[in-house]
Amino acid sequence: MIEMDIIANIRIVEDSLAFILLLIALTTLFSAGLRLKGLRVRLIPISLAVGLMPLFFWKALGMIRRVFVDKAIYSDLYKQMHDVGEVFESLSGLAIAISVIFILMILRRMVRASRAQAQAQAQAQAQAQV
Amino acid sequence: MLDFLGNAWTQLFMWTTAGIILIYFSKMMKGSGTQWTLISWGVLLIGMRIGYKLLPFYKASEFTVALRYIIGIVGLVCLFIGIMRYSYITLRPLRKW
Repeated sequence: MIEMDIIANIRIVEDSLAFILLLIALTTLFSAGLRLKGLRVRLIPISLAVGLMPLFFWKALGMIRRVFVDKAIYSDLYKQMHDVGEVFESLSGLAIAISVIFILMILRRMVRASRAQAQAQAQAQAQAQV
Repeated sequence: MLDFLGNAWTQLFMWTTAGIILIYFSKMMKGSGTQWTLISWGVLLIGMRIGYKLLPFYKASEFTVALRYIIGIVGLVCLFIGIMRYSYITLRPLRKW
């Protein structure tokens, strides 16, 4: 029984820590996205933040459910929150995968654009020397 | 659809794919790839935490059950440090102090 309590406490610690850390990380990523200049550069932190949102909601719901909702008294609410949390758990993997693939596309386009710019500069310098 | 997405194998595949792409980012950013390495390890560890119940020895003892959540905590901390480092490096040129 004591061991089961330890596991329940570790779950609460994981959910609470994830809630706090993801809240700070999402705020920082959104503020970075708003402060940066250039559409592609802005989209990188914002898409990472949007990809982490389902994970945040899953952990937040889990934390609220485990800490504040008593299973014995509010069993219906507990079950509903558990079901919604499962949906967010399902969506979290999909969201992070989509956002990372989106960032990969943005970075590739940025690399291509910078290479083309460097080539154009090199050509202009060569013409100026001639 | 949600049953498919909620399957532990599907989630493990998605998180691992995201982690591998993030490792690719860290290789792509030669000079300052540490933050992407940390984010990728965080994502991979969270994927391991989600797919951990597929292991046959899951629920063998209390420690193996607790290990799942410990892996999740370590992954989240890695992800957080990586994101903060990324934000710091990205925003450093914009600071006014």
